Amino acid sequence: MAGKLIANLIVMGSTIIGRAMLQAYRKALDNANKTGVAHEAINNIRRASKTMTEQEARQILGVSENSTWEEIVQRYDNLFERNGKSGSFYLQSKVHRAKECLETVYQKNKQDEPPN
Amino acid sequence: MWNRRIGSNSLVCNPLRNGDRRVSAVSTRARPPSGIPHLQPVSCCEPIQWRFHSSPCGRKDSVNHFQILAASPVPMATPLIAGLAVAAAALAGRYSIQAWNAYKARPVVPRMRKFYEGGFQPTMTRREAALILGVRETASAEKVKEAHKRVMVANHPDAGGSHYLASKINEAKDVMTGKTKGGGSAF
Repeated sequence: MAGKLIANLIVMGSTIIGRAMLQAYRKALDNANKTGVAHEAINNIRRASKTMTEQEARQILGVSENSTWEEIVQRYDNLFERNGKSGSFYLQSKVHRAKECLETVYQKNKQDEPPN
Repeated sequence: MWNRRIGSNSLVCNPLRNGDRRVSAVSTRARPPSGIPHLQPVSCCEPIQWRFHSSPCGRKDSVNHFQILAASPVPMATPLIAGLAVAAAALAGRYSIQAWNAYKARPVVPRMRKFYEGGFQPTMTRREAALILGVRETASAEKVKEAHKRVMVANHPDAGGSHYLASKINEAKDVMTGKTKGGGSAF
């Protein structure tokens, strides 16, 4: 008698817990879709390097391929300062990363110029 | 000799009692009876005199020792200690001046937080839109509009901003207000 009762209780409890976990999993998927975390996860997996391209960097700073380094620095200082005042930290970060990317490119160009 | 002593005792015993005999016998043997009162005060005074003699000697000795202790190291140590103190003060002054100069010359390094890595997402999500505008994901439409206006002032193309950033800011506003969907389901 006691053994049977205990077995029944265990089965019922495990069933309830299983249902609850399934519902929680579905709810988590819905939240991930709504908030965009799922997209970010996929994007992060696709591009593991997670670096900015030169074209995007130029677009962010609003400069063309013919611009000189001095112009880029001036644009960077202006945008960085203004975003620091009334902009957001995220935009400030993007401006900073864009400058870093272009700095790398221009250093390579300077190294390549003398032999040319 | 024995006879003489016995004779003297017999002469004295006649007028005195038995107890007095003993006392008288002792006195007679040691010294004449007239010396008894003189002996006692002398024996009492002797230790007192000794004490008087010893105490001033001790005081004088202690005073002399203190004087010696105080006097002997003074001529030897004072100039050395003074010299060391002056040298230490000079070194401290020099070090403090150098430290002050270094402090004034130090470069001003502002605090930098960890910047976000990489560029913008290919498809803007609500989270990125909230980050761009500097608001929470659950912010109301009014706050989103205020933030959009504030951020656009800093990045307006007509005022030296970037067209790309301006378009991103506008897109973020649309995403936050629900005008455009953030893309289909990921799964």
